[in-house]
Amino acid sequence: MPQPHQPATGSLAKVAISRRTFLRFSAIGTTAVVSTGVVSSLTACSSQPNAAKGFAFLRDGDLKLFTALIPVVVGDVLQTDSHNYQALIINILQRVDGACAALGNHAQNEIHKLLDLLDGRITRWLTTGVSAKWEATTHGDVSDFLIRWRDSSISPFNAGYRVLSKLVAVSYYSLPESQVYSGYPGPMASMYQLVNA
Amino acid sequence: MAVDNIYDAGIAGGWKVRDASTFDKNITLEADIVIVGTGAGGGTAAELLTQAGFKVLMLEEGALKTSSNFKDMDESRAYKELYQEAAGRATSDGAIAILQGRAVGGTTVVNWTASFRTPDHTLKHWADVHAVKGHSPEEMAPWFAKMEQRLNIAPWAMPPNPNNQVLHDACAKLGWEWHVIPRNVKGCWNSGYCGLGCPVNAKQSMLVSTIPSALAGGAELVHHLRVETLQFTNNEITGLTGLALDKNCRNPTGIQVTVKAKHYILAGGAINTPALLLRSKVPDPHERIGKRTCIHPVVLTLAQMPQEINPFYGAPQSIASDFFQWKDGATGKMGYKLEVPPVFPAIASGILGNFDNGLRDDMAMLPHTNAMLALMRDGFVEDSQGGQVKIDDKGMPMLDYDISDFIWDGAKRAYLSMAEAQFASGAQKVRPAHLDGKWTSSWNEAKNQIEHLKYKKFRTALFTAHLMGGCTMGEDAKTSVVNSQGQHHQFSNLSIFDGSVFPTSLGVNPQLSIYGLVAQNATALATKLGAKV
Repeated sequence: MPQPHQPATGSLAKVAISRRTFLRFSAIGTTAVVSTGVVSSLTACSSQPNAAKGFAFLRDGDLKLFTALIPVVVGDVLQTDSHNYQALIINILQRVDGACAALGNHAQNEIHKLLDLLDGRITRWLTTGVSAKWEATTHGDVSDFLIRWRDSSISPFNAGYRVLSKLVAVSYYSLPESQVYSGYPGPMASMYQLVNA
Repeated sequence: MAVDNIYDAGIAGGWKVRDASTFDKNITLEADIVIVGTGAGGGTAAELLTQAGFKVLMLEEGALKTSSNFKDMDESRAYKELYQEAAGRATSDGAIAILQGRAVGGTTVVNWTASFRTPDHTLKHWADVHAVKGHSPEEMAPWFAKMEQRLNIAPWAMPPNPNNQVLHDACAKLGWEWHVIPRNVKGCWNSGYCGLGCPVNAKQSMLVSTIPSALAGGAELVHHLRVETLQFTNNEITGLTGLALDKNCRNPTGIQVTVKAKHYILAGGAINTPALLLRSKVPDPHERIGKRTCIHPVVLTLAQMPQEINPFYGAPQSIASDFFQWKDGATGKMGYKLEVPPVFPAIASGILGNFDNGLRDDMAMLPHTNAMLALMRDGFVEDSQGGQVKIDDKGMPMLDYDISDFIWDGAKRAYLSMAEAQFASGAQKVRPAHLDGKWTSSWNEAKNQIEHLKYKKFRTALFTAHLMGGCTMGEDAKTSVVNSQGQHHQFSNLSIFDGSVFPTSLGVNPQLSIYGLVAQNATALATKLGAKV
C-alpha cells in the first residue's frame, strides 16, 4: 500500500503561525459547481503520478475521504446496506475524479492542498475536529465537520465546504440512479425517442 | 428519426475539417486569415470573410461535437465535452463559478439562446466614457438586423414554460417591466436542452450556421488545437504556434502546428484571448491586457411552487425583466436584469449548497422548484471595474474578480427583488442561494432574512455565464487594447473579434452583441484588406 501523503513540515509550521495563511486553498470554492467529468479521462492523465489505481486525480487517501463524505452529503437516499452500494460509491468517486481531472492547473493545485490538509492527521484534527482516519469516522463526525466548515467565519473553510459538498452532490445527481430522488423524469421522452429512433 | 448532423455529409463532400489529435508530425498551415476560436465571434467572422473571398483557417481548442453526440440529452456528458474545464471553471479564488463553452461553435453550442441587441444605454456609455466610435445605436442597428435575420432571431412565439411563467406572472402582478426574450432558433422543439447541445439542430449556434457556411465556401477548420503563442516583430504578427491536444482535449500530444497568415483574428473569448496575448508577451505599454474583465455576476433565489413546473423542460429562457436595470441610469446603483435559468438535477444540487437530508428534501422538490437569477451589470462605475485575467506559471488563464461593496449592494437588492417576485407569483417557500439562506414562507420573512445575510464570497453563491472585456476597444491606446474596429493598437495585422473587446458588461446576454459587432468589424476588415463587399 502506498503511504498516505503528508503535508510538508513547513506547512505544519505555518499552521501554528496562522491557519488563515496556511489555508490558501480557497480557489477550490465553487470550482466543481457542475463538474461531472468522467471516466474516459481515467487513463489520460500522467501529471498526478500518485493517483490511485484506476483514477486520474484522486489518491488513495482522497478516496477514503470521499467515501466517508458521500453518504453524509447525499443523505439517506443512499441505502448503505443495499447490495449495489459499493458499485454506486465507485461510480460517484469516478465522477468526482473526472471533475477534478478536468480542472485547470491552478484549481487542481488548490484542491490538492485541501486534500493534503484533510489527509494529514494533525492538520485534519486542527481544522476539522476529526482525529480518526476517514474510514473510521461516523456519519456524525463527518456531518459535524461539514457544519463546522459551512458555518465558519473563515472564508477558506466555507470554500472547502462548497467544493467538497458540490463535488459529491453533483456527481451523485448526475447519475441516472438519482432521478427517482430528484423527480427528474429523464430526457424529455417524446424528443429522446424520436432522435434515438 | 435521424437528425442530419450537417458535418458527416459536409466532410464526405469535401469540407476541410481536421482533428489535430490525429496529427503525427509537426505541420505548417497557410491562410489569408487565421481565426483563433470558433464561438460567436470566430464563427461570424469566418462566414463573412470566406464570403468576401479570403482563404480562411479556423482553429479551435475544443472538439467537434455535433447533434449526433447530443442525442443522450445528458447533463454529465455535456459538461464534460462542451464546457471549459468540464464546467468546473471558476475565478482564481474559486468564489465564482464560470459556465463557458469549449467546442467547435464555442459557447453558442451550450447557451440558452437569449439574443438581445446591445442596449442603447450601453452603447452610449461606451462612446461617452470609453472613446468608442462607430458603434452608436444607429450605426449598430443594421448589423444587429443582419445577424437576427441570419440566425433566425425572433421573440419566442410559444407560451413561456412554467419556470419562465413564474417571472412573467410576478412582473404582471407587481407592475414591473417584462419582455419576451428573442431566441436564435429554427424549428425549435421547446424541449429545454439548449445547454446540453441541441439534439435537433434547432438552435442556430455557430456550429450549425456560420461554420458550415464557411466550410462550404472553402474555409478550413482544425480542432483539438490550442494556440499557444503569437510570434511578432515591431508592428506585425508573423505567425502563431498551436499545440495539438489529445482526444480528450486535455493534454498536448507534443505535435505542433505553425500557422502563417496575412491577417490574424483572435476570437477565443474574454478569458482565453487575453491569456493568449499575455502568454505571447506582446507589447502592452499601458498594461491593459486582461483588465476590465466583466462577468455579469449572478445571484439566485430558489422558490418552491405549489404546482409542478418541471424547470428542466421547455425553452429555458423566454421572459426577462429590466425593471431594475436602468432605474438609476447607466452609472447609478448596480442595475440587474432578471431571468430564470433551466434547472437540471446535477446543476441544481450544486446550487442548493446544503447536504445530507436537507439536500435530499430540496432535491425531492425539484419538479416544483423555480430558480430566479439576476445578471448584475458590472463595469459602469468607478466601484465596479471588472476583474483581471492573468496567466499562471504554465501560461493557463486565471481570472481574479473582487466583489466590491457596490456589487454586494446590488446582490442584496437583487435577492430582495427576486424573493418578492417569487412570492408574488405564488411561491410557498423562497430562499436565497446562500449558505445562510433558510426557507421563508412570506415576503416579509424573506425580506428580513435577506437584510441580515452576510454578503461574502463563498457564503453567497455566485456564478457567471457571460465573459466580457479584457481586451477592451477604444480610440485611446492608453486605455484600450484594440481600436473600435477591433484592430490591435500595436499590430496592424491583428484583430480581436470577440466579447473581450467590450469596455463594460452589456446588461444583456451577450451573444447578439458579439454577432453584431463582429459582423460590422469583420466587414470593415474585409474592405480594408481589399475585398469588394
